Amino acid sequence: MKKILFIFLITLTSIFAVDVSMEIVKKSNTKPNILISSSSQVNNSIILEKVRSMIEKDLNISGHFNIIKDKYKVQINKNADYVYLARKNVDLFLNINFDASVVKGLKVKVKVYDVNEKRLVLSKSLSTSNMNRYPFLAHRIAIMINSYMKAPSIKWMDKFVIYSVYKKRQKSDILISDYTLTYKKRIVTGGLNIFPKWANKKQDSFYYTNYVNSTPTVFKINIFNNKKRKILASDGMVVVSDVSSDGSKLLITASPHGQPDIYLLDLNTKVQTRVTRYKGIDVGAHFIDNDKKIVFVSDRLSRPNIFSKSINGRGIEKLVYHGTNNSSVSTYKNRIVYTSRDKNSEFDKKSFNLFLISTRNDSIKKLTSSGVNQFPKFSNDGESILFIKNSNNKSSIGIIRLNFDKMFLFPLSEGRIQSIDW
Amino acid sequence: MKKFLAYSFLASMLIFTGCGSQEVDMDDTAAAKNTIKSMEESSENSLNSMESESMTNASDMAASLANDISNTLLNTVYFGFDKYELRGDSRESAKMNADKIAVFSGKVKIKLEGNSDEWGTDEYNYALGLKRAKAAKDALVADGIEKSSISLVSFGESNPVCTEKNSACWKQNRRVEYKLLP
Repeated sequence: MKKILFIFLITLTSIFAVDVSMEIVKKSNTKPNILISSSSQVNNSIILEKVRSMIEKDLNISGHFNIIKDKYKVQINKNADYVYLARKNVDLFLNINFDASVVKGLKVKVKVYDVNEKRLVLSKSLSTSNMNRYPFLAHRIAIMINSYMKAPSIKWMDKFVIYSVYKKRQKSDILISDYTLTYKKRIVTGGLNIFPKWANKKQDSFYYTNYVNSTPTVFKINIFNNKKRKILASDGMVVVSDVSSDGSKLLITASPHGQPDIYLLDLNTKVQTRVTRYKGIDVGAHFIDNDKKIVFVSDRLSRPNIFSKSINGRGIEKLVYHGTNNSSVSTYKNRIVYTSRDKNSEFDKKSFNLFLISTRNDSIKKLTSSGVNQFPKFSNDGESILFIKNSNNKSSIGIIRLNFDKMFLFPLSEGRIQSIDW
Repeated sequence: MKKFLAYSFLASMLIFTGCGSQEVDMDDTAAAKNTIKSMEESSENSLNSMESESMTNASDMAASLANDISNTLLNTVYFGFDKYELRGDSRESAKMNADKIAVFSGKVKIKLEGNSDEWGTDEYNYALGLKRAKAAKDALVADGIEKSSISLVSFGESNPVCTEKNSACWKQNRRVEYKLLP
């Protein structure tokens, strides 16, 4: 019954999630209580404890579970002690251990018990060929548990985050991580490599800008076969700001005549269309309305702000009436998240915060309260926002869980994050 | 003396550009090593490290020399907070640069490198750096320098000369540097 109520409330939340002015449904007492335990051997328990801890973090971040902390352990092949677990108010008991059937990499056996029904409800083994990739293994286990509970999807946890990190002057690398930055792989090094952007939903390739003899040039790299292809170069600057939902069109900020404007590049026909024509700055375009319109940042009213226009039309609409300096934007359906500078002087304390608005009403919600918060990106389901936070000389990746009013930060050990995509 | 320096610069640039080259070091064998083995293993299995364009020592040295000599000959032009218009002293500095560049009319190309401070969102800052470089270009053209000899690049906030967190430092980063190319 408890579970049914939980699923009902989660579904209710998802329905209302399309309206940013919704009231957050208080459901802290209705979420299932879960205890996650590992029954490892002593000599190889460190990595298993890392997996266990990561699953715990994932389920906490999902907002769909209450985590119960208890030292209870039981061997993987033995039944759970339902009486003890019930006394601890545990609804679900998750037990993990190594699956000894693989020699290379990591294979983890997962068993899930429904304490209320006193039975084993899930038994599976998941593996990865490389021990370092344990975070992805943990994320997949968390997704599996969440899916078993029929809670709203958290599949975004298994996605790659791609980002550029400044190392020193005119030097930056591109890395791929899991969303917690626990797993990290440096994939492009040497020179200035900036603005990585996934080329499609499969995340098999990405675009980025590299400076070839001081000429900004966009390349596309396939991460499965390492094939690298030049897309275009532009004197001045060139950045891939967004990719259409089918991956066939790019919104680019380029300056072939020394003027930063937004262009649409059709990858099939190779036709490049100039979308904005303004003597100031137009940057950071994103597709909206089934890729027929764009939102973008422009200083056409003297300060950077958020505007929209249809790709083929001429009229420009101002979208944000709050703040005097709004310099980056991301959209999901009728939702818009943007960065706004709180003060307008270099002598004030530097603070950039994220705000969420809806195109359907006048609601506005401040999502962050301190530091420099930039580059917001919605998840595919629109329920989470990924962003970069710089505070006290430390760069972090932040995740905002919109339906739960929660924010989680994952700091980078060194360097400053330049841009990000997921 | 400055003229002599400039000619030395041109000669050395020609020597270094002769032997300098860009290298693309891609790991061709990696693709064969990394294939997706099963759906259980997510696509992180196929991530491979690759080197992007890496400069050779010779071209590094040429670039460094170009920097030194351009900086000796030509003034860096500075801009106001969030601004990309050349005014007052900055316009004067741009005019002085045009006078010096005019001596080598037709013999050199000029690269204008626009930069920003760390305020603002990165993509906007690259555009701001570019607009500053464009303002410097417009000033050079107005002062008689051939338009086709000038190219632009923006390094946004990636190229700070000062990394402290104060307004005096940020001021030094809102700039356009003039580079002479053979």
